[in-house]
Amino acid sequence: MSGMSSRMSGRAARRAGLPALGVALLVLYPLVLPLLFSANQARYWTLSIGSNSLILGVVALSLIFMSGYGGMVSLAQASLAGFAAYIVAIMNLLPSSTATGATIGFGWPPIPSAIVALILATLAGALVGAIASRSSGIYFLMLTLAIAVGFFYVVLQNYEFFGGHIGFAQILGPTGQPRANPIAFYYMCLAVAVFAYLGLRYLVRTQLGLTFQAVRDNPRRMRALGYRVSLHRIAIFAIGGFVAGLSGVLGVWYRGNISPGVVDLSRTIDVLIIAVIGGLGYPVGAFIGAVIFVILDVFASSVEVFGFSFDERFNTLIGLAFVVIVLVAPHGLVGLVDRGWKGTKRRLSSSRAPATAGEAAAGPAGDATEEGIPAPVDPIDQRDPGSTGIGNS
Amino acid sequence: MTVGSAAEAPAPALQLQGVGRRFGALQALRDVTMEVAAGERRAILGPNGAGKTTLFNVVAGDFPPTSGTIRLYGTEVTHLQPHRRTRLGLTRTYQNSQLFMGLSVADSLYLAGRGVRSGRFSMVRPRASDPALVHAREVADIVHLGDVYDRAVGSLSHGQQRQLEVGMALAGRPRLLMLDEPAAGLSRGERTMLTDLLRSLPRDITIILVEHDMDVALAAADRVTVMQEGSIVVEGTPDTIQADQTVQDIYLGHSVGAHHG
Ligand SMILES: Nc1ncnc2c1ncn2[C@@H]1O[C@H](COP(=O)(O)OP(=O)(O)O)[C@@H](O)[C@H]1O
Ligand SMILES: [Mg+2]
Repeated sequence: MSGMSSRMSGRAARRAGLPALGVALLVLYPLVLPLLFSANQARYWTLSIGSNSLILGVVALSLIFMSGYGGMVSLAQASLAGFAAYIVAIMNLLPSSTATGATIGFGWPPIPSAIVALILATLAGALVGAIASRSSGIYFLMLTLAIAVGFFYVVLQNYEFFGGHIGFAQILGPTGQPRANPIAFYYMCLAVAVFAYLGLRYLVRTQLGLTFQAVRDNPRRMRALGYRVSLHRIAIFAIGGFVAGLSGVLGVWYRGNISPGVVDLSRTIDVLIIAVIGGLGYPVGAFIGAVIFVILDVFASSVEVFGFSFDERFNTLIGLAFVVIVLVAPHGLVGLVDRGWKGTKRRLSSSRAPATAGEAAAGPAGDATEEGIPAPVDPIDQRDPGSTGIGNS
Repeated sequence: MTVGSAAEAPAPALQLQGVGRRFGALQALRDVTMEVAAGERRAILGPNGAGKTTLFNVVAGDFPPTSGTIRLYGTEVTHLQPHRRTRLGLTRTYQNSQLFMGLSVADSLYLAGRGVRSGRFSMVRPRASDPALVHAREVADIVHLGDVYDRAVGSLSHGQQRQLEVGMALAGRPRLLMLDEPAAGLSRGERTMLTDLLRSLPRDITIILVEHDMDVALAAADRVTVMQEGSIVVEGTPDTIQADQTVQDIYLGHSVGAHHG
């Protein structure tokens, strides 16, 4: 295992340096804002830009994790986040306090409610996996999409559990009203985001994480090595459901309410756009993409060009950004920087001393498992022809 | 299903009874009946398209036979899923390498050794002293991949990838090892290395070897089975096979023809 062996070299230390710097900046961020802005503006940047980006980044991270390490682009991640948000509301509120006559509600405190939500989101993720991973390619996409759309209509029409088109309001997290204590809320989001990011980075070097990558690369060989491939596919969905659930829990505490609009199709598309802008092959891209998405969202509505506001044109703007990224930087912004940097490094080193053929070949590929994810991410999950014969494991 | 009682001879490693496999109109395997004793080294020869790889796929469980039964060490596995057969001690290599291009050699061998053990879903990173990691390192050295242990599989040469094929099959501690043309595309030196490796394997591993290269096949085998058009034509010791007129006609003649013109 390249990551586990004793190569704790300067290279590894330098690699640890960049994430540490990033986290340090994110920690300082809300503390610096009051020095630059009015209290109102500082709160806006802490919550609507900072916290919001972290929350969206976590759900995009779940998608990037599944597509990069599992080779499966799931369109159900926003719905799993929304599912967790609904569970938080149901666990947290009492039926008497809801406006819709929902008959279920437990009045539990925020943290136990969140734990239940995360457990159920993990199980729901596994269920989506059990259904969707039986198919592949375009059918896989369609199945996850159908699950997402189906869930939207369930919550829209069901009043007993999900509060129908009204949903639930007045859901408070452990830090109380975000607006009353924005910095505490921001740090909670940051802690969860760092936990999810580092947790997944740890996971991909464990036995289970390696099986995901191996199933992605060659499911047939995995079967022949003694692995029950279907269970490993379900496991990656369960983990994806858990991470999406983290985002959903933070999201419902951020908004204070939940309604079908939070699980409609446009949210699924948002998550996909964020992941593509940041870079589908790069976990950190989830957060870069989320920041860009949120800033475009915010400023599109405040910028006026030739007298008309971009308010209604956010979708045009984000659509344009999406097209430009896909055309100019198919591996997202992080991919653009990463590949540009590696290219420069290679050119520099080859002009200094010609690398041996072996080293040159080992370079980018050998580094792959440490930063970006190796192998171009192919949304079409390639199934081997032999898998159809006996069962589907 | 039935396992021979202690008094009887040990069950054969592999027992095929009337195995057939059809792909649409094509009968790729017809009525294949054979028995490979535990500890035996068996070579399977035959021209391209004879059904050797199909036989491996059926035995490994990639798809079921359309007729007949398969037993591994006395246990019927005809319709068993592939991963369960592997856990019974069957591992194999592929004629076209089936590797994890995004992983390192180390990770590949580690996973290959862990597939037949419990803890496949472990979410704790193994320590450097983990027996599975130590074993992966040993296997890497056995198949001469120690120097490229941390390299990505995609960056290995063809020969190294073929060695990794064999290494991954060995890492699962097989009782029955099936090798599908392991020498294909290897240089002369690499072939010698492979033959030496096969000879050095402990005798309690049963080996079935599909090989085009007669020298490799006959050097490694106790017995030889010759196939043509999905059927077994003849079976015997390397000496009798080399002397056999039918074999001369269908196989040796064929390959000599291919080489000379
Ligand atoms: N999955 C498959 N689908 C259809 N035909 C196949 C398949 N696998 C093998 N065949 C056919 O079965 C015959 C035997 O092939 P194979 O077992 O690969 O031969 P060998 O390994 O002896 O060269 C060939 O005609 C081949 O085209
Ligand atoms: Mg073949």
